[in-house]
Amino acid sequence: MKTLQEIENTSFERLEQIAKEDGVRVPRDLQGSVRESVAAAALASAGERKPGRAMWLTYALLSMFAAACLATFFVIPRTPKDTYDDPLLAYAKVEETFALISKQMDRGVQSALLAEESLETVDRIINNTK
Amino acid sequence: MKRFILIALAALFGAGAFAQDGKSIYNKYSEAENVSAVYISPAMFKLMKKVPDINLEGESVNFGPIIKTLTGMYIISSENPAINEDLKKDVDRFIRRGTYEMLMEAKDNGEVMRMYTMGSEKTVTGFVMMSYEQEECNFICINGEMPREALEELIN
Repeated sequence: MKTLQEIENTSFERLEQIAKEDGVRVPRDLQGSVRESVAAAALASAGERKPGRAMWLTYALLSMFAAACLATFFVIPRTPKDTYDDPLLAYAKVEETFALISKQMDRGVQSALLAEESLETVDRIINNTK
Repeated sequence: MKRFILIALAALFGAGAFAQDGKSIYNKYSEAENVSAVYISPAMFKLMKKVPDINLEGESVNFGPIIKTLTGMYIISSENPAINEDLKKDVDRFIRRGTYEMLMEAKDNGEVMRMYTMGSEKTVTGFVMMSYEQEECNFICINGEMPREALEELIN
């Protein structure tokens, strides 16, 4: 009987030769058993990786934090720079803008008055033909 | 990781929806080609309160009292047909998302002009005017605490 140290010190070729001489046979279903064990280990590790509720909450919180950071830099509008440094120029621009709005309003009102006049003409014609 | 990216993007787009206002429209288009842009900040409006009333040449109306109630103004005038359609869509989206009411609409030979106000019966806190035609698009957004009666009297 060889000791463990002797076996460890023996070369692989020599061990193979001893096994042949002693007529040691590999069990028939060894390959199948190894495959089953590997598959079971893979399934077990996959089950462990499934995220639980706590994991989802962590994902959600991290996502919200990342979105808030991105929004701060890209989405929330930055404050633009004033076009005028001089309040007098700014005042004149605002006055000009109001004048423009007033003119546009006036155009709209004039169009409405013209339409009203046309309707009155149609009414008059209808009344005259009655 | 995929879930993390998806949730982050969804939250980002959600935040983007809230960011649609006069300022974001100004930021988006003010640097574009053939666009002139004017921004007057609340700080500048505070300074303007100290300015004596100015009467523009040919203008009989005094806009001074109402100007002193304003807090911000954004103007975008675009002569860039490539962006006019997008600008119009963004303004429409901004109006739909806010609590603006249409004050007036006029259409003439393909030109559309709309005015909107926001606020209460007595006070206008937001005024938007948009005029659009294929070659030109103008957007004016004014914020403040304008007495409605005075504003309507002024622009009529």
